[in-house]
Amino acid sequence: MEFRGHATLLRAPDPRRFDVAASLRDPFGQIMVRVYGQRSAIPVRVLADVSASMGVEGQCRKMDVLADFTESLAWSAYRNGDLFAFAGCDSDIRPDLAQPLTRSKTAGAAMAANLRQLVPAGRNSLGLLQAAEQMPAARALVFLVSDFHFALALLRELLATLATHAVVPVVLRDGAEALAPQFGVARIIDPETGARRTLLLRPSLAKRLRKSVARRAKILTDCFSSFGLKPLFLENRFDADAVTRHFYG
Amino acid sequence: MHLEIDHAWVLLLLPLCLVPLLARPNATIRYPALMLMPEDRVSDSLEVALRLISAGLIASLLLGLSGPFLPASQVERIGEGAQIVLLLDRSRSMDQPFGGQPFDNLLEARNFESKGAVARRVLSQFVAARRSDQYALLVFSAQPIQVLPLTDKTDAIQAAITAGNVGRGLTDTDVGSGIIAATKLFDEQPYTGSRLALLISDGGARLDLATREHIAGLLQRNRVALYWIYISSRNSPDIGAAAARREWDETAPARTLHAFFNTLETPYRMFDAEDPDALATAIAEVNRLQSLPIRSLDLVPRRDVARLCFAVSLALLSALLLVELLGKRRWAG
Repeated sequence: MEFRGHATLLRAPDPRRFDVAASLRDPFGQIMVRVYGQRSAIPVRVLADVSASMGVEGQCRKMDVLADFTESLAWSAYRNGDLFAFAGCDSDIRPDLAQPLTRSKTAGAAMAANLRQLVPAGRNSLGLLQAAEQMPAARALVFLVSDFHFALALLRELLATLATHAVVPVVLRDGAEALAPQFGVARIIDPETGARRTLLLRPSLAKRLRKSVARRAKILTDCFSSFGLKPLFLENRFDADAVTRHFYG
Repeated sequence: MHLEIDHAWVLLLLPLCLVPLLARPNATIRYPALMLMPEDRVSDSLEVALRLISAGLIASLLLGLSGPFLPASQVERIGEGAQIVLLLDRSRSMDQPFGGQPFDNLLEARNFESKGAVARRVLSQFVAARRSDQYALLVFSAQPIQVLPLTDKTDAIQAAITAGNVGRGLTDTDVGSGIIAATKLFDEQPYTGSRLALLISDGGARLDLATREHIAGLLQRNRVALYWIYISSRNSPDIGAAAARREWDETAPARTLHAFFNTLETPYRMFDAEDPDALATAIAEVNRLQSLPIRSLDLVPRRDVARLCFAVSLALLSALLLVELLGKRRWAG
C-alpha cells in the first residue's frame, strides 16, 4: 500500500483512515482521511513507429513529440515502480532503439535523447508487427505510438496480435498535413514509398485535403473502436493533460 | 517548297526528348503520406503538360540548332509595265539651287533646294506612281555607275534613290556615256515591253558627233524611248524657245542637247520640272506606252526557320519558368 495523499471524508468515505493532524490543518475544518493506493505492478511498453513519415517536419517534429511522450511515460512508470520497455520499429525492429523492461530512473531520458537525434528513414512500418509478435504474453500496458500512415490491413493485424494487452493507440498528428498552401505548384514526394506527385495547389484542393485528413482520422478511430480501443490524438505537441483526460476522462 | 537542314547530325540527339517523358519528376517537398492526398485530375494533367512542354522544348531547341531553312528558289514572275532605266545626273552642277523657286539675290546659294534634291523628289514620285514597272537606276557624272539592274522591287529602287542623296557630285557631266550605258542595259534582252531611258539632268554637257551617232544608233537598235526630265538652273534661258538658234550655243548647252534629241528617230519627250504638271504629264505619257507582260525570274532568298524554332523554345521555356516561379519550396499553408 502506498500513501497517495489526503481527501475529505465525503470524497473518500473510509473513517478508518481518519487523519487528526490533517483535519486540524485544514483551513475549512473539514474531516480529512488518508488515501492509499494498491500497488499493482504492470509493465508499461512503448511500441513506437520510427518510419520515414515520422521524420517529416511540418508544424512540429513528430520525433520530438514521441521523445517527450516517452520521457514523461518512463518517469511516471519509474515513480509508480512499474517496469518500462521501449521498442522503436521501422521496417525492422531497431536494435539501437530497444529498451528491455527496466526500473531504471534514466532509461526514459536516454531513449528520448536518442529519439530527438534520430533521422527516420525506414521505408515502412512492418517492424511494429514483428515487435508485437515477439512481445511476451504477460499482460502489459502497451502504448502504440505512430502517425498511422500505413495500410489499415497492417493496423488490424497489429491490433489483433496485441489483443491480450491493454493497448492505448497514440496518434501523432502534424497540423501541416491537413493544411495545403492555397496557391502554387508543389512537387511532393512520399519519403516511405518514394512516390512523387505534382500538385497544382488551389483552394479547392486544400479543402479536399482537409476533408481527406479528417476522413482518415475517422477511419482510424473506427478501426480502433472495432477492437474496443479509444485512440489518443496528440496534435503538434505532447500534452500531458490530454493523456490524463484520456485515462480519467 | 521543302525544308532543308544545315547540321543534320544535331537531329541525332532528338531521342533526348524522351528524357523528360520518362524521368521521374524531381520533388522538393516531403509530404508524410501520399495516400492522404486526394486524387486531382488538374494536377495530373499539369504533370503531363509539364513533361510534354519539356520534351517540346528540347525538340524545338535541337531543331533550331540543326539550322533548318527554306532554300533559295527562283520564282517566275509575270509583271506588266514598261522597263525603265532611270538615269540620274550626279554632277556638281546638280548641287546648285533649282531654278524653279523664287529668289532675290542671284549669288545667294544657301537655303535653296538643290537641283539634285528636286531630281530625286521627282524620281521617287514617279516610281511611287508607277509601281508595276521594272526599274534600273544609273547615276553618272564622269562615268556611269549602275546602282541597280532592272528589277520590279520598287522598295529597292526607292531606297537607291534616297541613298544617293548624300555628299557632293563631281565636276564632269558626261551625258553621252550615261545614255549609252543606259541603252546598253537592254542589249541582248528579250523585248518584253516598252523600253524607256528616263534622263534626269540639267543638261550641262556637249556631245561630239561620234557620240551623237552612237547614241542615235543604240536607241534605235534597242528600241528605247528617251524621256528627259529637265531640271532647270537658276536664271537659265528657256529651253524650248531656242530651237531655231545657233547649234553651238555656249550659254545654254541644254538647248543644244534638246535640239539633238529632237533630231532622233526614236521617240523623245522633254518635261520641265519647273512645270507643276510635268510629272503628271510624264506619268500619263508612260501609261500610254505599249506594254507586254514582262517575264522575269525572281530569286527568293533562303529563309531561316531556326528563328521560329527558337521563338517556340522561348515560349515553352517561359511557361516552364512560370511554373518554376510558382513552385513551392516549403509545405506551408
